[in-house]
Amino acid sequence: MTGDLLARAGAFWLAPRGSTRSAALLRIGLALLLWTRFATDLAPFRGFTPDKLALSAVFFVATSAMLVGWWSRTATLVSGATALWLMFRVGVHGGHEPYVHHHVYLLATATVLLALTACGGSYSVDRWLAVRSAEGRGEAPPAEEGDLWGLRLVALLVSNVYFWGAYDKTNEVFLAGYRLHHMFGYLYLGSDWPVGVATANLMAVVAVATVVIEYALAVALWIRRCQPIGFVVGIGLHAAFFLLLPVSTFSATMLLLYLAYLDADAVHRLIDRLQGHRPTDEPARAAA
Amino acid sequence: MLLREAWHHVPKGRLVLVVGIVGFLAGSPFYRQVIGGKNPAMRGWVMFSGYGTDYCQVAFHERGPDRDERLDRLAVLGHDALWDAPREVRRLKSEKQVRRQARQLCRELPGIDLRADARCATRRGWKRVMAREEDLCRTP
Repeated sequence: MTGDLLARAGAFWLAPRGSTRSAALLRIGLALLLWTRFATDLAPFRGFTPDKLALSAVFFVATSAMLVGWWSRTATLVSGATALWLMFRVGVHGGHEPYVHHHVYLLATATVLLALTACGGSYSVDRWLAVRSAEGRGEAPPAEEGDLWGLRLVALLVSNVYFWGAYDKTNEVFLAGYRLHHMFGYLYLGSDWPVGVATANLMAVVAVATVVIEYALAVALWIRRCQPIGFVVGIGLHAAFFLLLPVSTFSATMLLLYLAYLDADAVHRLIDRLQGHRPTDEPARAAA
Repeated sequence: MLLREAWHHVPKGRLVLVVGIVGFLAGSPFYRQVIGGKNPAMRGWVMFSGYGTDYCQVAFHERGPDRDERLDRLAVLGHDALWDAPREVRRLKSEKQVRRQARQLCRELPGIDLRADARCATRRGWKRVMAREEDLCRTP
């Protein structure tokens, strides 16, 4: 009994295998988000000092390779490490406040964790080279299958964001709606003291709902049966954040990372169906 | 399956790596948010904790012998609606800015007794900074 449990936990956390398409989509999405966040700051016209040019070169070469999937895992690791460097060296140590924000840390950490998984097995130059090589040998193309344990860690990262984000808000000031009232007042309402208590009450309701949803998502996204409703609620939550608050790349990153919770083979089958291919039970292995 | 057999199949190197990463991912916010640690390498998930704290709300009132009437501050300053007003007029960030706007109102409405209820945002909620206790047109 305990042995079975250990074996299942080991298979889930340490040796999950499956289609590499989810990881590939994450790789492409994260590369584009890294460009969205940093490309303008790191463009050569920002400065011609040797250190800036070197940082710029590393960033653009690594993220370009990550995007097209050439030396995918190495490129992803270097891209993530560069983002961490920007956050800790330029942001924390150098005092550049915009790089200290949580959305930068999320982006950098998720990228590093993705490098632990087979993110170049699909939609990549690596894949194209592997297929061409197999064809040259007269063999069938290799399966789009690989090690996916990094995806488990990416999903854990997202659950951490929800749980600890909710934990931070679990206090009288936030739950009473005061902090949301400050934010929405600052952004939308102007400085007129509202007449009546409708605004304050609405903010309190929204505050409690936000905290409940964040705690729930931290757990629900792991449970297959809860995923459909979890995704709908999560997408709604992040759409609201994205539209109403200056969250930069945070919402887009979180929603992209939802891919890590999904069964990778189910994602593979869905893409096959969307492209009009005949669905199979074991898509990742079918080609092997 | 026997425990020993299951353990035999666990990839030990990866186990150490996963335990380390999971410990770091979950331990860092615990260290920052529960214990109160300050090491910048350990990150918590504290988002928008200070956002909107440079913000005040105010209700200006014209006080007379037999009345205490709320003023539409934006209308007095010549703006038809909230979004027509410049940002620094519609949104006041501090008690100092509330007093500066009060002086502008005094110029527009000479001779009035101008009072204000005002509160400013802090991380701990609202801080009351004015409660109609003084005539702002006679305060230096």
